[in-house]
Amino acid sequence: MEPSPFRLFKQKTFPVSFPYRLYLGLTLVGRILPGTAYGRRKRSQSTRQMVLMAPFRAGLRWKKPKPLVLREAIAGYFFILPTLLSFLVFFLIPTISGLGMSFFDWDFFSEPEYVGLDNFLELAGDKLFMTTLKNTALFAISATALNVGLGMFIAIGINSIKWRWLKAFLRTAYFIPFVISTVVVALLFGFLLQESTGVVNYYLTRLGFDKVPWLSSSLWAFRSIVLIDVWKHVGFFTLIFLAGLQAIPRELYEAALVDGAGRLVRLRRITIPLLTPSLFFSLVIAMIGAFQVFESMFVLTNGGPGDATRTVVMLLYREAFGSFNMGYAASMAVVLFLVILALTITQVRLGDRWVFYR
Amino acid sequence: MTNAVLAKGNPALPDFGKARDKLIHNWRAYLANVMLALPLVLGSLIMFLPLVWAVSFSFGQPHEFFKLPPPVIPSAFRLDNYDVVFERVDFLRFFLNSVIVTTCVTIAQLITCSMAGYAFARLRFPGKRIIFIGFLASMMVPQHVTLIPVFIIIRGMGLYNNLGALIVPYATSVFGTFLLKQFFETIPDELEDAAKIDGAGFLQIYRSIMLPLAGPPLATLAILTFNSSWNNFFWPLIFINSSDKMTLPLGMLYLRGQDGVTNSGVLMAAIVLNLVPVLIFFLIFQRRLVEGVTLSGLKGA
Repeated sequence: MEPSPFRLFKQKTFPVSFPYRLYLGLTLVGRILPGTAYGRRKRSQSTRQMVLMAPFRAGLRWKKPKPLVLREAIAGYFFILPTLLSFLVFFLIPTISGLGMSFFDWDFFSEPEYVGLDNFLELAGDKLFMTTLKNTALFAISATALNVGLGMFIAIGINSIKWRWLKAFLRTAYFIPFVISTVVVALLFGFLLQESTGVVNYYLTRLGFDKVPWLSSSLWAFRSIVLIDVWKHVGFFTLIFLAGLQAIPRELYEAALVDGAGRLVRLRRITIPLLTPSLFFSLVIAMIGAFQVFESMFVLTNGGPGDATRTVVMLLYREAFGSFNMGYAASMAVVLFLVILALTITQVRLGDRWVFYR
Repeated sequence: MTNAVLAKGNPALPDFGKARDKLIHNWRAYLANVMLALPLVLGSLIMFLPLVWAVSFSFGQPHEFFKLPPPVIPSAFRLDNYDVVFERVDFLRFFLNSVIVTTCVTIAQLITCSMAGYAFARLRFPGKRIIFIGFLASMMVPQHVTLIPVFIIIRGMGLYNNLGALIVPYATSVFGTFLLKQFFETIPDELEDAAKIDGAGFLQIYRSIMLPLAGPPLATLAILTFNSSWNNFFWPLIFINSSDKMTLPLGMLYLRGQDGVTNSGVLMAAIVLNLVPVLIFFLIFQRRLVEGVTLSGLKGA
């Protein structure tokens, strides 16, 4: 029973929570991108019919097509001028030339040379790039799963506590790391996670564990980075889920109580289904963010040990501003973008199957 | 909540009387609450402890290996580490740069976003939908795609190694425009119509009707922008190369590169100096920040 996101989007007042609205925004973008259907498909319609019908359906949505007023149009352009200008200069032109640049070989100083798809072919055979891509994907999967999963359960936990002061305290406590800059977080953990003199290892040995080579073994360095990311971001996802929980109407629980549903049943049958929009939103956002991870690795491990924590963006940064392989770096950015785009579209499309809308 | 059913007198249970039921109910609810809260409170300790350790180590002695066990409460409040921070780098300069950049970005975004938001919500002009969808789509493209061309553009503008490089590209925001557009759409048409009948122009409507009403979303936007601009690291890393133009995050990295600072109490002192304004900011605006992040979600993740 999902309403067409576009129609909801056009409504003047929303009966739904804001994360959901933003989710609608995302699906909107997802739907207009090539390869995704525009709007909701009826069973009898073919894709072709849908695409053909789209402009008419869009036309139907305008209730009163008032004539455009010149003065109003001028005012409109005036008001969006700064944003539009900045959009053109810092987004549209750079995006197009960034895409174009990926077909050139350019070292920033000499004349760029057109090489066709060579950069991409080279990328496909570049072992280091493949390693970074693997690292990034692995990081994205583990960080997303941990952040979103933990965030959800912490939120459900906080929400079921009855003392308000404790709720407020916990919410604040989990959220604090989010406002601290990643660089500071990374420096702080670099200090705490030292192998021989670190505080964390000291307490681990006191508890009878062995010292953990937090940043010096390639496996643990990767895990540390994920854990630090979770430490910083879990509160953010907790907040999103808390908002989602507050949007669940109380009556549903009361009805379930009358029917004799226990705690677990209520969790499984009411809370989690009604949280799926927040869950979906968090997954999309977390994934997009995690694929662009850079700072914590850059500061903490600088990609090491070996290349165990080197990500695509780190390699891109090094290629562009270290070795001045501008075209090559641009092609990396394009691949990164395509990966993110493909994953987002997949998520949006899969989301239709499991996300539950009231 | 099962207890509520029990307390009302379940026929399957012997009747202990109302007071007894209530007692049992309260006790069980209390226990359930504690059991639930315990792991969460322990988890929140993990959130706090690193910060506490940073503070306690910052009061230790510089260039000294630490006494283990690490003190949770520092034994003496020595300020030596802080002195070294100010000796080694121009920390106040970093701070001031951060303040300048963040303030400019925030003010600029408040103006540009509210203007564009107003136009998209309230005015009709050709191409509005296409432009807006273009804006939305730009949120999906990672900034690394645009990185190199923007680098060239910024250099071309003569803003390389200049605070302007950190301000100009961030003077507008698609996200903020979106936020404000959503808000302006909820304002009833009658207000605007009344002003139009009184002969107000669009600029006047924007200034004296729309802006005064937009306090809450503008505050939310300001705080989110402030936070993300304050913590921005990638752009200074690319555009700033002299230490007198650095903002705090990059300055921290610069400080770490100094002799004998890596992983020492001096670094902790600098971290504490970083944390204090951020935490004060957080405590003052906590409500709104939490609200803003919950409402928007799109930034920072």
